[in-house]
Amino acid sequence: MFWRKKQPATSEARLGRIDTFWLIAATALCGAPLALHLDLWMSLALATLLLWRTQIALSGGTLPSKWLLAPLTLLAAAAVLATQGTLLGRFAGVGLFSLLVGLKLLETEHQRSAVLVILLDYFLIITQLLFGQGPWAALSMALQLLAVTATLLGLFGSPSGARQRLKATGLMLLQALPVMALLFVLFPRIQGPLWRLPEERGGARTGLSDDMSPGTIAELSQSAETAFRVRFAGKRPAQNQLYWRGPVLWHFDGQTWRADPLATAGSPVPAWVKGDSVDYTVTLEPHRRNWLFALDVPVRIPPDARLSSDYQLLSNNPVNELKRYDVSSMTHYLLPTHPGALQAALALPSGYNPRSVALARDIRTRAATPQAAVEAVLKMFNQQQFYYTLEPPRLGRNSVDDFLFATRRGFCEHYASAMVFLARAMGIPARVVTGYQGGEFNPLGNYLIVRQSDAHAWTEVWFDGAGWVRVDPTAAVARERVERNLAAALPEAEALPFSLRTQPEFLRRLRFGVDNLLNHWNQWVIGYDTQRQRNFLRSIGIEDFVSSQMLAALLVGGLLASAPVLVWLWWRGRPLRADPVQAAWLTFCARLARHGASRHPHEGPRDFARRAAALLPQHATEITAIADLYMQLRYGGNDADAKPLRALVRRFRP
Amino acid sequence: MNPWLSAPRSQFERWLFRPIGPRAGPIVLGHRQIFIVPSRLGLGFAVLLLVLLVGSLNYELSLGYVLTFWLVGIGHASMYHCYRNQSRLSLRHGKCQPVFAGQRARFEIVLDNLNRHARRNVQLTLPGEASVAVDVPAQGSAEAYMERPATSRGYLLPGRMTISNRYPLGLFYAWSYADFDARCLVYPEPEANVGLPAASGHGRQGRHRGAGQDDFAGLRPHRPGDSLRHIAWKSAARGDTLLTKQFIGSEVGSLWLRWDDMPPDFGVEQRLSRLTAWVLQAERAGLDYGLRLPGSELAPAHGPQHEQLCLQVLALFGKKSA
Repeated sequence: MFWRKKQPATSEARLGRIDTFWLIAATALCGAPLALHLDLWMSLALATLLLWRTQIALSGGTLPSKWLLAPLTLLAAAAVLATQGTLLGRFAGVGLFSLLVGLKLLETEHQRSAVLVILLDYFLIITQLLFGQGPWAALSMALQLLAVTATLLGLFGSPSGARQRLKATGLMLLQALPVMALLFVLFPRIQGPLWRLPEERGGARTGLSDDMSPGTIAELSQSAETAFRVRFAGKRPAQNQLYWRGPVLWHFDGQTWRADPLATAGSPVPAWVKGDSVDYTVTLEPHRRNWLFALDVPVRIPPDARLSSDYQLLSNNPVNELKRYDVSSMTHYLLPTHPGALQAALALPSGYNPRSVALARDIRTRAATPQAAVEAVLKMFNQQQFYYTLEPPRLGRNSVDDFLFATRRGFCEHYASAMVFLARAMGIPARVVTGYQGGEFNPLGNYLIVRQSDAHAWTEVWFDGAGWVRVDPTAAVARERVERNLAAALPEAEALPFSLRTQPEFLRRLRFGVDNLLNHWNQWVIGYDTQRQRNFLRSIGIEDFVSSQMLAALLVGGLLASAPVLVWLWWRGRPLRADPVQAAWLTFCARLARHGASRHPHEGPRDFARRAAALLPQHATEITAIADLYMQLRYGGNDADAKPLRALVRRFRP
Repeated sequence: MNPWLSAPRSQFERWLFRPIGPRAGPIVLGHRQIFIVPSRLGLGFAVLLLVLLVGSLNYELSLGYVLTFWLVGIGHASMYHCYRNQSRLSLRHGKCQPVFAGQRARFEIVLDNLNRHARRNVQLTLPGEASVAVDVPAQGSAEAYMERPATSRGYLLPGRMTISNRYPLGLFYAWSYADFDARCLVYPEPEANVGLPAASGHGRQGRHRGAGQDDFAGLRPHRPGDSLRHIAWKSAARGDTLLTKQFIGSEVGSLWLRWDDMPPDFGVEQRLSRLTAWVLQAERAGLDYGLRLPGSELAPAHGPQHEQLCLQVLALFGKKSA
């Protein structure tokens, strides 16, 4: 049979079995990536709801009643509130939303509510992007889009086979690409959030924090995750100059170093700088804190950031998404300070580390100047038996004493901590600076990759007349750490993640290649923001969003973006071309029709010709000749040549 | 609806849709005939797009923009698909079997697809009736049967039919109107529980025919309604006009069904209804029967053709002949 009948597709129509399974599968696919981020119980609850719905669909049972679903909904909300402390925010909000979609599915048996679930599924797709926008997220997004759209396609009359359905949907997704690309490039990007997610509790955070105790940075060093990438506009500074300043720590309680809220809130005393500036662009991975990273003394900072009084570069908003910013820094400088700050840089907890205090006094009395005293400490680290290691022994209450006199094995935070402690005990103001040191240059993409394993802590010491001076005690112990990288500085026996180890050349190149692709993705897809858009539009001659150029771009672009769909649809759907004989005959009929002799649908060529000849007697011979030739060609046999008929018809002008 | 609104609205509709009256067909749906608007789901989809856009903007989600704009593109493509699903579709009407008043008339509509793509889930709707959904294969045809209640005798027109579709995603609703002059003949509703009239003076209860063919009286030109059994096939094979054999005596044993035999207080429809019932019964009983109405008369005869002719005369009694 050529045709088949269907149930009228009214909104009250029941959802077919196959469509139900599609809907469940699409929802499961949209919820699956969230399992990586949400609490385990949420994912399990969602999976349970979906399995429950599947079981009902399989057994043909009835859906749970409202009296069961309503309490379940309240229970889900209560559970989220209990485990997350809020119903908003990324983890709580997304988790609750996914559960609500699952519950909605449990009361979906008609097409009308199925359509609603599909809209909710589309929204579910975007929620995973709150947790990351890497290429994998994009791939998963595309797959989900395919599944959800194919489900929708099934509801409105489509091939029922899964392959056909996916093919038709995939084709439509491809046809949508030009419009997507056009809007992505031209649609005005607006800077900044309209509202903020409430402050999160929990949730994994990577990267530096605003406090430091023994082991903090050593732990970070195990991670090969990228912290940020840097592209230098001009020459890249030497590796041992790459100190990326992060949180500055002032307060020591015997164990932990903390930042000074006052210093963070204040504004800086202008620094004295000289020489050429280093210009670079940092693309920072989200770390959900406010600080940005820059070399030594930034002189030009991004518009939505500020410098604190201890020269930390702080963003006005937490860095929740990939952030790109331009900075210019000076590497020759004299860093002044607020007078009150020096007092804070001398504070030590009383009753801790008595042996270290004694040692500091001893060094100070033997040194002529503060500079010489600091030199002496560095010399001590360098010449006595101190070791640089990722696995230092545990330290007791007097952590600096234990380190300096007993264990002598430490990571950068141990050396920085001891250095500042000794300096302060000598009466020299000092502070701990945390951040990153160095980075790996990717020659393929011509940019620097700074990883969490490059996290570092060093010190700044105040000398009258010279200002704050950077002193890196780790360099005194393990020069390679600063000159090259962590792997070079650590002894061979230390356990480092594979990716941080020295690798064969081809593997290195492969890694650089992959990272380069990732960087392009970051720069052009994720990082396509207001500024990049403006630059791009300017490069194609559009200065303003409200301009004739923009209008022209939208019109021409819109036509170009529409055209592929139209052309494809036309080409695939073009009508069957009549064969030449038929075409000539149709022309002939059309000409006769204009003179009052139109062919009736039931009339064969012979009858029609007879009638037409009677109606137009002056053309009777031609009409008969054409009709005879037509019938001969049409029904007479094979290998018909249409030419004579076409010639006759062409000459026929009644 | 508010009359202040409905009047301009119907004006607008009249202007927009320009009714041109029933047409013989085939009706080809060109761009002048197809209207397309976002469906209710389409509006919901637009709201979703707005929410996604605001979300992407707020959380600076570049991939969120990608998702939003991709969905815009999908909506855009689906608009073209929806339009194309209906564009250049050709509709014609087929036969419609006569029905009795009170039954449902069934109009056959044939959808022809000359194009190389299949049409999916095309809905045909008559006002007040449920839709019928059809798939039309590429370069193929599909038939749909549109039903309408036949309330009164005479010719029934299907009325303005709506051809619509929401393919592929239901985001858009495209529709066209087709007004076919397909006519369905509606016979009067036969009166229930009524016996045949008694044989009148110069008629008698008919007998089963069978062997009464020997009184051959000659040939006359064939008229529609003549029994096929009486066609002179031998002479038909020689020339191209059909002749009917006439028999003497066939009038003698016939039953006359007469308008005037009805009780005088019967109205027109009531009379027609009873006559209809008589025709059906007489035919079932295998009688020869004639029909006599004011202004027309059908000679007694027998067979499905005669029955149909009688019913047609009854159906169209008093109507302007079409």
